[in-house]
Amino acid sequence: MMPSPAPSPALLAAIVVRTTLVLLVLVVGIRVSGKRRIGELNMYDLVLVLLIANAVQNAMTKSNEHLAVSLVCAGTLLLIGWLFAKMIARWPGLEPRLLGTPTIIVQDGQMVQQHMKHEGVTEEELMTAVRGMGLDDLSNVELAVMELDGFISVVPKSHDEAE
Amino acid sequence: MPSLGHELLTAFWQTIVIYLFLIVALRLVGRAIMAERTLPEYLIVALLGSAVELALYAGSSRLVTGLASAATLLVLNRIFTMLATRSSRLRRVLVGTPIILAHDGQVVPGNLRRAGFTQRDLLTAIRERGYASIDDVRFAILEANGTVGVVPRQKDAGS
Repeated sequence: MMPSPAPSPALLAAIVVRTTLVLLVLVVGIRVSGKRRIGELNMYDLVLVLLIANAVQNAMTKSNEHLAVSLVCAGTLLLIGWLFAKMIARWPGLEPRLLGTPTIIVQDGQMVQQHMKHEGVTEEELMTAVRGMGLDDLSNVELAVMELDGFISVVPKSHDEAE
Repeated sequence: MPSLGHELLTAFWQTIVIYLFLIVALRLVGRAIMAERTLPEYLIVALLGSAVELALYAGSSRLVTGLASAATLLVLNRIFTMLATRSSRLRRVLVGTPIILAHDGQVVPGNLRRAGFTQRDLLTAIRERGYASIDDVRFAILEANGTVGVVPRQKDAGS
């Protein structure tokens, strides 16, 4: 890298303009590409956000040419995201195949070891989720499920007495 | 020097390749990583984006190195998970273990210090979980992911 002299006012102004442009394009692009049917951040959203953030990283500070490249990357990502959402809306049967299905990891107080191993969940991580619900023992857990977004939902066993 | 049109086309199709690759790879690795429950998972997700950044637009040799780097990260995640499941010592090193901060209404001062928590931090965490004081707490545990789990005392032990 060459040693950089103090940035000129013109360069700083260009950065302000490009940064504003990138933000506007992203906000409008994400709004137009449609709010996703699925509320939680699924794997597709995660990859989209991850890649968009990196695609536009240099657009704000480098040349105008780079701005065009970054916008094509971001536009392509939004387009794919939109296509997947459309496909799932059109053919709902695709959803379990594209997104997977929630996995039961505890049923009626018993760990389903095979599913835990498959999802890469340790017993300690499971207990962290269980304690997050204010429980300290699996025997009080009716159901624990790994959801599509990777989080573990814990359903306590219901008791007759109120909280 | 490639033309701008050519560069834009490269960016278009390489972006598609990276996106599809990450989707398929994450499906294979498992979605647990998305919740970023452990430090390695958190770092790996953060690094994935940087690993493929140049691969999005900077020509096919960058595409290959980006894919190699992303694949390495995801394989490492699988290995970390396997090691953490098998050995509690490795788990302690790689992801940390839960620390009991309070037990049966009593602070555990040594653990509090070890966790870098003050009494006030602990009481804040307890209130955030909806309990008024430490007397209501059966267990307060600093989890490996940095959250504080609170198990309340119950009037009767339940069924």
